[in-house]
Amino acid sequence: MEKPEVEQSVSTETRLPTNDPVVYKELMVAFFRALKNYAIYPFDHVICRNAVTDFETKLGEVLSEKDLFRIDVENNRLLHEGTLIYQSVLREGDLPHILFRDGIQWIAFQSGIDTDEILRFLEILHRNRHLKEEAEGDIVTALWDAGLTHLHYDAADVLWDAEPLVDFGSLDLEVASGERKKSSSGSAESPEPPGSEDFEDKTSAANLQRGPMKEDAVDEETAPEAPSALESLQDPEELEKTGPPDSDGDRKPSGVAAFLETQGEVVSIADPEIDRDLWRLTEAEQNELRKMVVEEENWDSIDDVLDVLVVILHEQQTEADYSTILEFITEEFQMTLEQLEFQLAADLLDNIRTLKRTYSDPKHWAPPLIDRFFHTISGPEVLNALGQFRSEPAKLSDDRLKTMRRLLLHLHPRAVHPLGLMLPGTTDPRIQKVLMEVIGSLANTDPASLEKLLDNPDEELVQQIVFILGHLKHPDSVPLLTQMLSHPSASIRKRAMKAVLSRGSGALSRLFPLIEDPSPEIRTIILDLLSRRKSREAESLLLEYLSDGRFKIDEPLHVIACYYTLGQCGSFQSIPFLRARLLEKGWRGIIGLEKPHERQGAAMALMALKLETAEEILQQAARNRFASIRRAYENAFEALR
Amino acid sequence: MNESSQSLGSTDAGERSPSTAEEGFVKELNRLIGVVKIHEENNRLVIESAENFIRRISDLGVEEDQVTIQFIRGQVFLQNQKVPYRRELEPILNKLCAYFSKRGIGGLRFYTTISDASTRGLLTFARLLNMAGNEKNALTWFAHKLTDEQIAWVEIVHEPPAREDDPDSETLDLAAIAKKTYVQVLASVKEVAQKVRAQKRAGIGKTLRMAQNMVDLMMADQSMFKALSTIRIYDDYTFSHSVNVAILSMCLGRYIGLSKNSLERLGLCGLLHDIGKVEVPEEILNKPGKLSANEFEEMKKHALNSVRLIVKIQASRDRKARLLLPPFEHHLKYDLTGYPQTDRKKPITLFGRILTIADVYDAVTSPRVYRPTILSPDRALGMMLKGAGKDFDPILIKVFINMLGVYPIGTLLKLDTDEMALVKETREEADRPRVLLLIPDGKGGFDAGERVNLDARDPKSGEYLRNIIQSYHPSAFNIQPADFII
Repeated sequence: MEKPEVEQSVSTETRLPTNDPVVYKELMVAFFRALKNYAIYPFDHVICRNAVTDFETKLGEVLSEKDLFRIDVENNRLLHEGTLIYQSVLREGDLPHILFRDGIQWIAFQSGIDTDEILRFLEILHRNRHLKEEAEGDIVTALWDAGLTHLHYDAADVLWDAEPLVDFGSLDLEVASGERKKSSSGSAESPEPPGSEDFEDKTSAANLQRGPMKEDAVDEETAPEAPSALESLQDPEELEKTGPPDSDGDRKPSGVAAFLETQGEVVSIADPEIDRDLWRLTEAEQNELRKMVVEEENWDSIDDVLDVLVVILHEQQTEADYSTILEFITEEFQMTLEQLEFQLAADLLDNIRTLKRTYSDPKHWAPPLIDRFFHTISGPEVLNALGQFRSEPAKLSDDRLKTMRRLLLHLHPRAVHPLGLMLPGTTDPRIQKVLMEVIGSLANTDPASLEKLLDNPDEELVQQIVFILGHLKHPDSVPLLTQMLSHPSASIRKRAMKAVLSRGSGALSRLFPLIEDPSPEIRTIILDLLSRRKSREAESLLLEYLSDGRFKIDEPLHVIACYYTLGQCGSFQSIPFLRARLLEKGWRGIIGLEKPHERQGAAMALMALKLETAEEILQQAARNRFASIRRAYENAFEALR
Repeated sequence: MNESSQSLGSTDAGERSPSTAEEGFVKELNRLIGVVKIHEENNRLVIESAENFIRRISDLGVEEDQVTIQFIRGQVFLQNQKVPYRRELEPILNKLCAYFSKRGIGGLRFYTTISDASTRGLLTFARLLNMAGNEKNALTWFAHKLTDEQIAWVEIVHEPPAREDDPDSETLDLAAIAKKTYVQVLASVKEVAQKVRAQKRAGIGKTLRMAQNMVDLMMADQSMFKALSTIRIYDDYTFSHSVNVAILSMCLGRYIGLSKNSLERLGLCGLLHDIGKVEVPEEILNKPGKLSANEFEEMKKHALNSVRLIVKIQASRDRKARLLLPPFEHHLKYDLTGYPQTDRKKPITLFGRILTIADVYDAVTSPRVYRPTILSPDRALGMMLKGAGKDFDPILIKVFINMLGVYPIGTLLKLDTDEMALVKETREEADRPRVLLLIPDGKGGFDAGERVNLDARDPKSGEYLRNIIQSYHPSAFNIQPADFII
């Protein structure tokens, strides 16, 4: 049942002039309806689409008469040219309130605004309806970022109630003498203004150095003598010791502070002897600069960020910080999957595994955190990001697939379930193959990870999982396979059966219950299996089954087939049982308690045994005084002719 | 008021301390306008505000029977005296200036007969003032309404014409906005830093808004914006340095043609690039001397700390991913011989290279506790040029020099006329910028003098009227350039 549309528009059979306040109010109603429906429905839902279209149409009509439709914002009211067009109860989440909250004083729609801009505006309002504490931004920052060409606004500062402001003239400046003085505008206590003789004093480099440099803990014997400024800049080796121009490097034990003390030696760039061409850009440099800008504007950060994050991770000294970085790496990893950047993702996981190996202390807290990371990224919340590649298989080259495989093999067996769920929607056989291989490899360390998939209602998927299960070497896979022998689907039971068979030893005893499988095909396969060669195991199983006489599949042909199979796989050990079944209690036929198919089956089994003793028993049956026994022999003979 | 304000200096002798009555009047006017906007007229707060306002007028109007408030070129005058700004009052004064400017009202004169007016009448006046903001011809509309409502105890005072040699009011408004922006940016960065230091959740909503305001300001007037980077706050170096680095980086970014959104991001990177220093012990940060090897190792960690703290910030994955690289890189140097040393050998990003330049320039032109001498801006550029290709991107350092000019804004010059001057604007002939002459005020400081172009020549001889003899860093003479040139 569809949800009802929110708010019905007022019928406008008679068109009012577009400057009529009623028109503006209707426009607002349409806007609110669009906003509410945008919040409730996906955009391609007919209700949402209609509401947005309705607003766009009405807005277009208004804008056809005026270039700009401006809405002034007050705390709970919206006005246009002084006329109230909307008033609400002051309530968090109301449009006037949220606009007012963020300082918007007015917004204006300009003619030319299109659907895309309207939608982006609605999205901004929707996303910023309720601001969390310590929000990343608000409507104003979102509008700024969006840069909507045909939507204008003005915003006041609302983030500060009464921010202290600064009289820059009163800020403390450290003067060279080491004493604090106020800046010269408005200061009562300042040094005498310099006269020309003072200028000379001040301009000498020595006098510019004021105050002693406090000696540090650096050993004076090892601290190199401070070189002159130019020498240190020209000699790369010396630069290593003295410290290059660096905002903190000048504080190194043998740093730039030394040459800064001899400021007079640092030449001004304005010096007439310096060639101005030194900072003139060549054409090649200008081109290079343009290229830098283009690259930056199109920069995708993931590659570089991932690199740095692993470096940062390694440097963390506390568990909490380590976890924080790993959490962020998880988010970045998810982004790489969404963008199909498998190489980056694979490299990242390689690096993290390598990092884990560096922790030699078994008690270190980092390896378990890394394990937890791999556990997390193996979950559906992260791996579902891979979903899109299934619908765009063409984007995956063979190389890329190889890389995807490498990446997925890093995951924890927990990934088996989400990866398995991707199989049904995957049509590209190459991708299917990779998924199956990865699932198999991961499940081989923990077959139980396949369990959930085996319960999936999708038969095709279960088929594939059983196939994988059949190839696992892990011993824990056998019980799972055995469970599948009882699966409601015959085709799955058949697949499981084949898988069990491929395991070799112990297969017969596990498969034997299928002798009573509802599927005739499966029963046939089992009997065929049992009959392939003489086998004590098969003979014992059949003897026990037939002796019991309680057949779930109480069909004559089935029973006969079982007996015959006994004959094919059995030995003289079966003769006493078969003799009794064929020759004893012949009187049952007289009183109507005969089980003719069992007698016939026994006869056929004896024939299949091809033993002398069996032949003698058959001759006895052929000449027996009870018709039921003679009949059993004759029927068996006919059946095998 | 947050703690950060304590380090920003205090009002000084030489400024007139405002009387309580004047301050009270201004605050009450602001309050009245505000409460009438939000509450109904019968609200107790509204009535109280109206009564207080009338009382303030009575207090002030004892001698002249009237109280005149005027808004002239972004400043507030009360009874023809400029209201000097104090920290607490400034936001209110700015708000009132903008409020009345929007309505085209140059001032109001209240007569003491207001005490006979009804509260309702006063509230009507306030309400009309608010509504005028929505009118096309606000001033005319408001004047008519006053007449219609028979409000005789107040009249509109028209703003006197601007003086020819004064910058126009728009420029003054922009100057006020620029200063306000700087302080707000500083405060927002501190707020984030304080929260991360206290291991609290830190959002960057304010900082983001400020970064956007910075971009807007830069687009409106790049010179003024650049001039903000000359601000030096000795007691608050770390944060003012971050703001200055952001400003310089954004200027460089704009110069090379980055988009608005990239400039916003660059600004944020600049603002947060040293956030990791909140985890460096204060005694190391402020040590008045050389660092030991261990101390320097501790200091170096801030680049990595910055990344971790940015990861912890409340922001989207995408935004954080785009913010954390440049702070990591800004000490690596162009040739990757800096720190933190890692196996990663990729070239640093464009933003990282930009930040490196801005960071070093601001640092070497700032007075520091451990380094009493600082380079004048032109010498700083001379030094940095030598690092091209090794410490700095060789193309970007050239661009930086071209952008700032050989005498960057804020450079203090000695002229051959025995005058001192501050570079106010760089020009095409870079060696001859536009300067603001400084006139000794006889009390050890300077007053702003004339603005002159150094390429001005004597019409008869053709010789330049003034030539540069020497350049200095302004702090050597206790000068805060922003105070003069913004």
